[in-house]
Amino acid sequence: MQQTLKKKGGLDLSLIWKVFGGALFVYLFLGFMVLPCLNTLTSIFTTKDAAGNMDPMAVIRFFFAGNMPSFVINSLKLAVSLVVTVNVVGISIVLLTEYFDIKGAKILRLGYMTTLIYSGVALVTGYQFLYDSNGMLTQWLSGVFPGMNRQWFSGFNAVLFTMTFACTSNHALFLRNAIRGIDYNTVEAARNMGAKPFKVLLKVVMPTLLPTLFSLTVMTFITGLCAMSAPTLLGYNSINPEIVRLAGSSVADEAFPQARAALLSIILALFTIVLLTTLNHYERKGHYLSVSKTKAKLVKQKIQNPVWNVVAHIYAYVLFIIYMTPVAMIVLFSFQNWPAIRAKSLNVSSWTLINFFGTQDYSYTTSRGKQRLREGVISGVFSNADTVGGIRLSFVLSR
Amino acid sequence: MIKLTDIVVKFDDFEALHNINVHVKEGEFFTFLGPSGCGKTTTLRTITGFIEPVSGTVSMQGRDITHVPIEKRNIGIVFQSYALFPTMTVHDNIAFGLKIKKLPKNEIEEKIKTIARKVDLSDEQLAKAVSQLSGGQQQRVAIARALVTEPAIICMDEPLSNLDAKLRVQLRNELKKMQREFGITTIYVTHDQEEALTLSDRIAVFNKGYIEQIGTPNEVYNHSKTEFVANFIGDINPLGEGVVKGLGLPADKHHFIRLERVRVNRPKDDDVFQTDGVIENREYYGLYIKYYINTAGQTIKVIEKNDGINIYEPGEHVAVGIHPQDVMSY
Ligand SMILES: Nc1ncnc2c1ncn2[C@@H]1O[C@H](COP(=O)(O)OP(=O)(O)OP(=O)(O)O)[C@@H](O)[C@H]1O
Ligand SMILES: [Mg+2]
Repeated sequence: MQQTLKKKGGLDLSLIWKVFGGALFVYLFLGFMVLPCLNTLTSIFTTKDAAGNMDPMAVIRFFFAGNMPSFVINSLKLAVSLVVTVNVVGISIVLLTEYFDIKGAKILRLGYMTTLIYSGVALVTGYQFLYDSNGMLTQWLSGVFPGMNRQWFSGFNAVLFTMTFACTSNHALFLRNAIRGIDYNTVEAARNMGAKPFKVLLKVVMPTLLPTLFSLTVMTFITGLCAMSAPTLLGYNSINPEIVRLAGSSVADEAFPQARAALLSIILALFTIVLLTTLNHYERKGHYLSVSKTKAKLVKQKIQNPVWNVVAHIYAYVLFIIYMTPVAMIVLFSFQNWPAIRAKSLNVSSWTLINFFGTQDYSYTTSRGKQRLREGVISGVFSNADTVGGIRLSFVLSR
Repeated sequence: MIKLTDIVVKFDDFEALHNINVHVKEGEFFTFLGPSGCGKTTTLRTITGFIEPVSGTVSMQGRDITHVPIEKRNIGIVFQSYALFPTMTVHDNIAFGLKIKKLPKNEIEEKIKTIARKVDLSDEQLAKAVSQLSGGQQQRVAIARALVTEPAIICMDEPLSNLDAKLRVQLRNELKKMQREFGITTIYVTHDQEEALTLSDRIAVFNKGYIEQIGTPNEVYNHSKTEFVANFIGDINPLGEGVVKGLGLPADKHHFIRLERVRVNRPKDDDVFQTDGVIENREYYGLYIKYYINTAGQTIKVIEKNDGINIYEPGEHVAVGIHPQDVMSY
């Protein structure tokens, strides 16, 4: 008797849970996915003209008449360029540390992996300590060449440079795994059949990496398209910074900023959806099944030609320096007080631990040009005056 | 054909091969046999050129190739994993070596067709991705790929070891048939004594980086040179004091007898040492029966053909006979 009661109670409870869970799901789905989308779409097509009349096509017309396409084109330009540069650098760092026999590969790998720890903003900040208009290298250069353009590290090239090195993390993780998944015996088989090491790389190793590379390419493209921190900090007019700017703007300043922001974000979303769908489709049929039941571990390939060997080593260490620069700068400046950080010049006579153990107040400029005062802790060092970056230690610890 | 002279191979401080000497003859099926870690693969890789010996020479057809790079050695390899290129079709896998050699296209196609017919791969199978083939078909592709460039010699490192028992026996036979057909000099690595005995013309038995014996299957089995070889190939009974004294064998040596050489309930020959034994236990294998017989103060394992008539029960008394000719002494 008691048992059946219990059973009945249990059934009821699970039913309640189901209803509850269903309701919660519907709420979340509607509230956080459907409604915002509808709102965004509505806001685009319900703009009013100066006379207060509804003009559904106003934003669309504005889009084609004004400078809005340039933001889209800039974003696409960045995305396409990034695909090239990130793949070149990303493939390089993985081959240099995993495939070729380069001296000091372990240290090189650590250097290449630093972008896993530092967020985009911190990275840009690190570069800016050197290259910004008042950065150390710029100061020194303009001492040597007084006529030089102190704003040289800004715009498209600067964004491309910083983002290239910021976006190789996925290559470092996934391409590395892909390379390690190769059965080394296939490399040996190719060598045995007379293929030179470079040919083996091209014909045997690279093809097995293609599916991974394709995924990485799509991800990089989306990252470039949706880039936020680097374009904001380095001054490049791409979609996302414009969305943020428009969202903070008011009707008094310009024509229907919110609706324009909405339109831009829809465009961004459409691109992303198309790309992810392509990726999904390709991934489902694109992976090569390794046919080896037992795998031999990859043995690093020595570059036989001494000249190429030296060139590869130089290339590896130049990349290492580029990767380590922002990290070194950030570490260096974390022992400096706020005025020095702000002026981006090392105050060699005064080192401080205040960023680690104390607080100091400093003023900074928000993205909307307002002066704010903030209590300084270490995060202040990693932030470039507006956004807080930080060390994603948890990310590293979790692997 | 292939000659290894005083080969020493070191991995850092560890000496994996000490003074290996082998001479494989033209057209021979030659097997490296030994337990895990004894240096079979290392020796094979020294021949193929993946490992360079610290001393000694490798020569092929009278030419010293010790320092010739891998790709110039003209040696075919079949890997344990087959190492087929997963991104290519069966056809392209086989064509790889020919394309590297920059042969004209029609010649490549001609050679692929010929070899495919020989290893029994159909046109449909040639068009398939290698992942769509079964283990046995993959092996044939691996062999075709290794043979199509017409190497002087082919090396196989445990090509059957990751297949199930039945397929292994089937492919073993196919392998032998193909080798006979092609008449190609083959070096074969295995730790499976049955595989070695059934396939080989000659066997080199490895132990801890040394070769203990080189000989035909019959030589290494029936005339094992060392205790290790006798022990590793087939099963043996160490003979205890009772039998040794009974046969009048020298006491300063170890004496052994193979299981199938022990005579049970047979008419006594002149030289045979015969004694009473009791069946302790019995294992029934179908083809034969294995008895554990307590005799002369020890347990002796015996294999008897299952003739369906003379089957002994545990506890039964039998006459155990040992002929001195059958004793192996080390
Ligand atoms: N690259 C290497 N570095 C260091 N030691 C090695 C290396 N390759 C092999 N060895 C060692 O050399 C010895 C012989 O190895 P080898 O692979 O030749 O054995 P094997 O007879 O083929 O064994 P298995 O039957 O397990 O394949 C082993 O002790 C092994 O640990
Ligand atoms: Mg081996």
